[in-house]
This record gives sequence, C-alpha cells and structure tokens, in this order.
Amino acid sequence: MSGPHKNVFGVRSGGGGGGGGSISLNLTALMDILSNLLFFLLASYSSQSVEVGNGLKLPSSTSEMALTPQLTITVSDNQIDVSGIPVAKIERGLVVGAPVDDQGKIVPLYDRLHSVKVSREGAGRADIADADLVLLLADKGTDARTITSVLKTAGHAGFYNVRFGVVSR
Amino acid sequence: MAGGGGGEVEEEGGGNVFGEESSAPVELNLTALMDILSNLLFFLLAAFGATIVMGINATVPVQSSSSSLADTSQTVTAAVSVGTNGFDVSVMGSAQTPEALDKWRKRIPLREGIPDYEALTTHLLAIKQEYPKSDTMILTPETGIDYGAMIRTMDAARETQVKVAGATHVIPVFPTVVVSTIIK
Repeated sequence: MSGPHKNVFGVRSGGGGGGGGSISLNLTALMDILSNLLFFLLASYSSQSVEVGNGLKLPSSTSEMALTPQLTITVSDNQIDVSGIPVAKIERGLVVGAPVDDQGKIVPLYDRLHSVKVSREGAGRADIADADLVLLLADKGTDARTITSVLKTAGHAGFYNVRFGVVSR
Repeated sequence: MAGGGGGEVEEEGGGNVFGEESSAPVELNLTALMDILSNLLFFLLAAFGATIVMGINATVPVQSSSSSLADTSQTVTAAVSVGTNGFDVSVMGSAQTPEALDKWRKRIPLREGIPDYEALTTHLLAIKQEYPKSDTMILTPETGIDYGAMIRTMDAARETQVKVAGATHVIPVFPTVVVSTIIK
C-alpha cells in the first residue's frame, strides 16, 4: 500500500496532489462503526438460544413469538433426539425401529422425557415456569403422523404444552 | 484490506499533560485489525440472518373430568382437519343448537392443487365474527400431510389483517391450537 511504486495504470502511486509521499488514512471513524456493529452482532448472536443443525429445514411462519430455552425435541429427516441425545430413527418421515406401545407412545422418547421430568422433580424444579413446555424443532417435510406421535408421547410424559420452532418469514 | 497505514496520533503544542516533550508522530498500522474485524463482521452478519427462530404455541389434548368445550353463547371451538383434498371445518360448542353449529360446517377444497389458506382464514374469520370470544382451534392432520402444512394452517388460523376505514388492523382469529390425531 505504500511506496513510490507504479500502479496498474502506470501512474506513480502514493500521492494526492503529486507530492509522492505516503498517504495516511484516518480509519478512526470506520473502526468506531465496525466495533459498534461487531459488539451488537456478538450480543445478538449470543442471545440466540436455539441451535439448529443437522441440515434441519424448519418451516417458515409469520409468528413473531420469541423463543426461550426449553427442553428441545428435534425431529430431523433421520432421527429424533432430545436435547441432542438420539432416541429413535426416522425413515421417509416415519419412526422406524423404535417400539410404539398401544397408547401410541414412542417408548424410547417417552423414557427419555419421563426421566427428565423425574430428575426435575427430584431437583425440586418441578414448579419452574414452563415446566410442562417442550420445544419441538422438526423438519418441514416430516410426516404429520410422526409429529402427532411425538406430541402424544410428550403429553404422556407430562409435557402438555409444545412450542413449534419455525423460521421467521 | 486496502488502506493500511492507519490512523495518526499526533499531539499538538509540544508536550503532553505530564509535561513531557512530544515524540515523533506515531502511525498505527490498523490493517491487520481491520482484516480481523471485517471477517468477524461478515461471519456474524451471515450467521445472524440464518438463525432467527420463532415459536408457535400449541397443546396436546389432556383428559379432564370437566368439558373443555366452549360453554358460552359467544364461544365455539373450531375443528379443522387438514387432508390431501383440502380442509374440513366444523365448530363445536355446548351453548348453541346443532343447527346453528352445522351452519359453519364447510369443506374447503384445494385451489389449483394447493390448500386454499385464504379461504380457510376467511371462513374462520366469519366464525370469529359470529362468536367473538372464540380462540381455540383443534387441528387434526390426516395421513399424507407434512409438518410444513400444519404450520401453514396454524398461520392461516392465528391472525389476519383487516382494513377498517383505511387503516390496517391485525385481528387474532383462532390463536390457541390443540393438535389432535385421528383414532382409527
């Protein structure tokens, strides 16, 4: 960036006014703006409580309800997991390989949710706000039967309220 | 990043606040810092737009000793079944006559091969205007429906924009959703 070299146009660089000296750019204002933007974005980024991964394609929605951290059930195109722990496999949108009892519960999912419920009660956190709320992040192509099975299972485990995670349209 | 060389810190007047002689002008080379900041900025800008996740509340049916059906004359519960052929809408209430409730039963077929969400919103809004204290919809997805269609149906039922005297108002229609299943 400096020096009396010639630029691509063959013009000697480094000189406004033909002086030939080095240019001193005052970047203070630009640094201010960049720093402000950086801190704002860092703060916003860290306040995002939900991590969407595994190629999950959430449906878009006009909802404007912000999310708060919850127990999260993720239904991707190949598995169901609870807070990152896989509990059942999915093929073509439907649960496979996991036993479903006569009440329609997905047994491994129920066991996992029930153990969370029990451990919360054991820790004296059964009465916390939204104790019966679960966040469901599901791929938009998931069969509705799988969604209703998951909801039914969550309901049996004591999580009667569900919040569907969607991408803001 | 072009433009290195940086800002110049120069004290005027021959001395600083401690009475020391000013030294030669200091030139800070901010090029590397600008590079890092710019990279961070673009990464955060890209990540920020991709992770805006919102929520839609719903509940599952819960067994109860008391009836959860709407029990006032101004309240009904809408039942919307989403199928591959369209929507089936009906209303339930314990304070209305069967004839009054049957009036709102309607099948909304596909329009040009896709679900007619506008017609669903219009019909639910008409129900809401007749029974203004209603807010609960039972959503029943049939076989062959995907999760995206469920969300679109909830969106169509949640609220709508109405123009009154030139001003646009957002009116809640049936924002409370209970997701149910068909028992065979």
